[in-house]
Amino acid sequence: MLELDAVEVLAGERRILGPVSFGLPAGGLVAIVGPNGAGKSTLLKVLAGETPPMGGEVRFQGEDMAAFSASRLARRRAVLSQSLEVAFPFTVFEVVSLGFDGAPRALTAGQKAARIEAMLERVDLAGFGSRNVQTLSGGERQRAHLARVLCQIGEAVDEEGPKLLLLDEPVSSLDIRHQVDTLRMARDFAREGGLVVVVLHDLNLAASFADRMILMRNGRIAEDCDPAALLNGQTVDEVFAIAMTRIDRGPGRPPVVMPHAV
Amino acid sequence: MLRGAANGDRAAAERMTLAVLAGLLLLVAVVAIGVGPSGLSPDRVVALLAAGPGTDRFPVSESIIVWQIRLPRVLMGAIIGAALAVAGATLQGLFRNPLADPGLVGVSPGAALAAVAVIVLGNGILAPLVQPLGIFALPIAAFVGALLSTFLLYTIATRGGRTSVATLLLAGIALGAFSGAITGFFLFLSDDDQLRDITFWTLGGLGGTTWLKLFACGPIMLAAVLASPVLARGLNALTLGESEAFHLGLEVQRMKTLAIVLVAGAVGASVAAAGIIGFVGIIVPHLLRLAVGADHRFLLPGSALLGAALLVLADALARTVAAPAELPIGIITAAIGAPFFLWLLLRRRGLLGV
Repeated sequence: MLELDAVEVLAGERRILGPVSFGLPAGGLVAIVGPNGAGKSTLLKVLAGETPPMGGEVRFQGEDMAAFSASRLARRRAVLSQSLEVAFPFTVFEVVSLGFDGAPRALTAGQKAARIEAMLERVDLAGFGSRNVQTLSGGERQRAHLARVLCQIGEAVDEEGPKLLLLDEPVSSLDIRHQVDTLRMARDFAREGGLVVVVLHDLNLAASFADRMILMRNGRIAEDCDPAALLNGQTVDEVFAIAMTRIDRGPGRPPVVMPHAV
Repeated sequence: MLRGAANGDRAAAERMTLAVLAGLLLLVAVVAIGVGPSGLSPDRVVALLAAGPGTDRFPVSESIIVWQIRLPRVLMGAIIGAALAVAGATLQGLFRNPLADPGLVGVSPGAALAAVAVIVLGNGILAPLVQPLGIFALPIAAFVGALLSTFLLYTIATRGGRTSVATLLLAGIALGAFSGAITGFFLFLSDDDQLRDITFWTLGGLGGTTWLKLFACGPIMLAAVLASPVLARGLNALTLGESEAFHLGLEVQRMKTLAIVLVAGAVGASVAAAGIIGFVGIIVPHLLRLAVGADHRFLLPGSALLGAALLVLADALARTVAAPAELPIGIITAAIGAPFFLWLLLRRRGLLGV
């Protein structure tokens, strides 16, 4: 569904990504992990069609991603970014409804309102619709934006094929229960046939939900395998430059990793 | 908690507000046409307007006062107020900053500089350009000045097809100061008559508005105001940031270019018609955001209506508080606007806790 072929991104003289090549089939949840500055967010921006690669090519459903218009992309993929500030006092309802605004669909105002309210309930923000989004806590705001992104993307698969959901540290402000809720929603989207790429810091959380994990280091891919293999291998310790203790959880399940020093 | 329906959808309240504002504008306009040295009651104004120009059912003097003097002036005030408020709302949306104003980011000073250049050099080295244009020379110069300064600003702040809003804002302040310096230099060169004309530009005023002037400057402003709703969805998406606007399906760069041309047109034509009138662009969108909602599908038409009503009201005040003399309208808007602006800053400071 998504193929990267020798993709590179430079910032001035410095190479911040690549060259990386891999393919991601639909129907999976892929977690990208790695130390700060490893190029995870840059990779996600490339996958979003936002940062055009300076070398190589990204193919989205067989087509060069650069050929997609903004509005066509918006119907096929949605992005939840890090640290979202809303410049004006919009209500939570209005912010979520922006998801419908970008890529207009044939929905009446009443249908949109019903979907927005249902989505707010799904992210555990029922009754928050009339709150000023600027006064929400960090975690509540993150979930409000998740609701917006889910409204934008809609069904995981439509007549034109599977869709792409990109999440950049979607649980960074969330409590432990909402972390699990959010990743469950992401996994549901993948189970329904869509593709989810999510940047995460928590290796154990990533391993519990991902079908595949990509470990990045200095803009390159250090490891690309299933969660159990990644956490059992030694590359994680090397890339994060800290020795890990592994707690076995039985066959077929990834171990829980903890930094040795703790 | 923000006002509106319980689920947070404020669209119905916003539509209602637009209807109320349209009614308010009509009311203020009728009253303003009646206000002046020879006062007319609102129902007489309505009767005179209904009778049409050149009627013999009313005294000729009253008909002339309404049709030739006050109506073009009130219409000009309304259209300038609408254009400035829409330009302010658009710039604020573009900069994602509620404090942006055409006067603050150097667009109005650029327009005023071009107008002053025409006043001072119109009979000198600019004569071959200025003479053939006649009364259209000033509006055209101000429009070109606004467009040039906006374009320059935009070029400075844009690299690789992306516009940095922070650079745009800072460059605008620098450009405004620079325009001010050159305007000051022209002031130094000018004679007494020119000095009087220039003072008019820097303070702003609607005195001497004629139908001809209205037809010279009005259409550009009207076009900008009527075109503004096209930007509404884009400005809403931009509220989340440029990346997010792109993620939501917006051609961000195209939308920014359109917004900048629209602001230059609205501000340039308004400066040409009445000089620099500050703070309308800040106050009006702010009031509406505070009281009703921030959705640009409401905010842009709402700003047009409230801006029009406020400026017509300010002009009526300008004509009456020091009668028979007339205060420049820029003094009224600045006297009300500047304290309001400070209040906003203090309020924001309180919100940010710094």
